[in-house]
Amino acid sequence: MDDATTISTAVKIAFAAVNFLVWTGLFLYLVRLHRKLRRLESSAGRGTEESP
Amino acid sequence: MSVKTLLPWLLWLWIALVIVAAYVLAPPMAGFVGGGESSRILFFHVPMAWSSLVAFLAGGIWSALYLWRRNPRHDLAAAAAVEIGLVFCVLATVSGAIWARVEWGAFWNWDPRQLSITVALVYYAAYVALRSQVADAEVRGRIAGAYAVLGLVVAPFLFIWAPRLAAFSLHPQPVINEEMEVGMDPQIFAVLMAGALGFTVLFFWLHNLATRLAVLEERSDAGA
Repeated sequence: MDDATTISTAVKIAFAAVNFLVWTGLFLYLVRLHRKLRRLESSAGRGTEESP
Repeated sequence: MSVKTLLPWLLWLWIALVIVAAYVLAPPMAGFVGGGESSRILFFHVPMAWSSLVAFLAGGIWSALYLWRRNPRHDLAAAAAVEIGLVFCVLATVSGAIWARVEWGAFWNWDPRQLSITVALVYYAAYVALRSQVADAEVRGRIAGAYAVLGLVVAPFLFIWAPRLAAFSLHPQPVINEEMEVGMDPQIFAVLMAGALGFTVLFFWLHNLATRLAVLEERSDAGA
């Protein structure tokens, strides 16, 4: 890439969209993991959700 | 809906807005290739490096707590913090190397900051290796704890002071300089700070999940 290269707004939006999808995918995975942990903790009998 | 349930969704929204701001709202920074567009790496690379420092410091603090209280949960929390910190550190190093290829022409340039982050990676990779080699949980906690507490001095030195002690750095001066002053567009700075805050909160959420998982695994192993 040299200084003469310009990136159009459409390309920037495309980059932002890819970033957004990756972040949303990671986020949904973490939410699912959080729910699964809560279930396991309650079935284990004692909550361990509190941060140390 | 409770605040605790709402918080992750607020984080999702916050980082989504940072992504939009980073690509669309923030102006390109003068002096960077591609008409300044390559500077947009800043909004992800710097928050990742920052979060890895936060994670390593958090690991040191939880280790100190373990050495003081001998609560196994603190040791697991320290290990989780360092492991997540390593992931952020690898991402910061790789994203920095890709940017360096675009901006400086090579992935590796012996820049002081490239060197210091690599030393930090090796230091904390050694922490993980050290933990894996000690079977007894109590001994492991004590040795790894002392190592991570030493990291409370090593990590700030490598991330903050060491790159600034060097006479020359390829890293952009508006971001990093000897005076430790920020010389960038206020709009760019605002997006950068928003990104750093988002990544820091993301670290604490990931840490909460990782620690809970480690506690459940340990219980499961003890019960087996």
